[in-house]
Amino acid sequence: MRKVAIIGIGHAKFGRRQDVNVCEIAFEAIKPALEDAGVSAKDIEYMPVGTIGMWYEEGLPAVVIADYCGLSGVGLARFEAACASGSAAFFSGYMAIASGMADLVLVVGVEKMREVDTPTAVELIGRAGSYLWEFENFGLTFPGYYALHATAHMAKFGTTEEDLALVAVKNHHYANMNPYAHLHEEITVEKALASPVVAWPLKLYDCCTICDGAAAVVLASEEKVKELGIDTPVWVAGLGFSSDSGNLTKRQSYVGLMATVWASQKAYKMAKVGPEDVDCATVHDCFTIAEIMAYEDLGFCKKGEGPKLIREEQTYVGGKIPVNMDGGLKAKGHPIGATGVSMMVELTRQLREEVEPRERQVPMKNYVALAHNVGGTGHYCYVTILRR
Amino acid sequence: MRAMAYDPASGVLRSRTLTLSYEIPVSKIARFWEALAEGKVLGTVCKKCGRKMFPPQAVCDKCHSTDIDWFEIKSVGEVVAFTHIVVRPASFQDQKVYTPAIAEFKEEGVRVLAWVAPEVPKRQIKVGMKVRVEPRIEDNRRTWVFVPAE
Repeated sequence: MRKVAIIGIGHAKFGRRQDVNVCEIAFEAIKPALEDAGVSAKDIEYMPVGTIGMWYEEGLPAVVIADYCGLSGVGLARFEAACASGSAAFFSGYMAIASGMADLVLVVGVEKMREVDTPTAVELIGRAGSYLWEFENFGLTFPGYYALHATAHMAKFGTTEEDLALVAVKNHHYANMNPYAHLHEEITVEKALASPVVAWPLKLYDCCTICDGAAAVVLASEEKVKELGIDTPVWVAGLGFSSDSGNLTKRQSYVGLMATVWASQKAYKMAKVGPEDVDCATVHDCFTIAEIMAYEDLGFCKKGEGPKLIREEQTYVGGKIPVNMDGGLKAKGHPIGATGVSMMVELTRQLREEVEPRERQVPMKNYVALAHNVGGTGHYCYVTILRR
Repeated sequence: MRAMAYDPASGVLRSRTLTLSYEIPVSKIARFWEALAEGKVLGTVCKKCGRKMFPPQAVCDKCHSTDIDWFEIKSVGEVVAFTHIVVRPASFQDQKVYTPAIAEFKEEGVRVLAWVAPEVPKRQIKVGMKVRVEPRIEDNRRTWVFVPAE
């Protein structure tokens, strides 16, 4: 296997973007990614695209995006792993280079979710699970899925609605400093607790936003890194993938996601690091309870101690393990296919120590960062470890 | 007169409409849907390795045997997770707040996902609540719900 580096990053503004279609928003990420890498469209050999689609009009998004951005002719595929689609595309791009099949790959994550109304978007995400056994009769929604985990976690560990709100307060705080984030609004625990219930115990401020967005990264082989004279390549040090049952009834427990545990173990092993070596992480906080479970399942603390970590502000900059310095899915926004790639963009900025404003920059000790991207409620999981 | 698809004020073009409804094949587990009308909720069990499955399926997910039998879920189970869904999907807009829950039936060795019956007061529903599962017919759909065991 060859070494693979991230050499270029690009990120569109996340939010309700009715000013652009899927190709136009992808361009906003692709152009800066190519410029950052110092390469042009004709140098790219393969472009995996992470996107679910359904909520926008195009049926073959990878094809029309490549055409719009002058990339027709490259190898193309669209990747679906629910909310981990971006990481699935990233994994494919990684493999293309690691295997020797390509030297320069452009990974794109994109979603346009606001071209349909909210009940339709809620339905399309809700059907992502086991349609016949969980949606047809029972109308489960994604907030509903994570709320099932929240009630189980609260019953077992005494986790409170205030603990959940603390995660939202942190992620809003950092999103407010991130120019690419959907929401720029500081909130308080009181405000979060007073917001309308979406799926009890989850309230509006416990939930990520349904939004539009795109992110892109350029991946290169070690040979290409040298040839291009890249000064701060960020290397893919470890990658782990996993999944769990489509039906929640087949899971052994609801207080965590086994897919996260399994994927992170693989990634840690490949990167030869442990959770204690990670300087900062982006974790899959589609709902506040998801961030708390991620702390535990990734090994940042013991099972059941996630609430303590946020109560002690250990996941802020300066804490034991800073998490979601970009505002997370919660407040940066969660344009589904874009999320996994957006995590790589943020971690690359962190590892290059170029984050602005500086309050968002994590002090680096080991120059190791971890991205945790879940599809569904642990239906899919990818954990990627980057190192400068 | 129908509005023009292109709306210069909002800068969007409204696409053509597609209505989707699927014909889902359920013949291999027809027994499950038939049993609901007889007042029973069934799971499947593999005759070769003993694996119990809910939702039911026509093949064993562990050993891939196609020699499958049925069993009834009739014991008292315990709620292990639940939620009250307030923000509802497009096709559930006509429903009131509903409560999906997962209950564990230790005697049968399976977990079941269903709504807690709508007549059960919301305050009564908690993790640890004892329930039975029973079939219902709602809006011409055969379904199953949890009812308090005591």
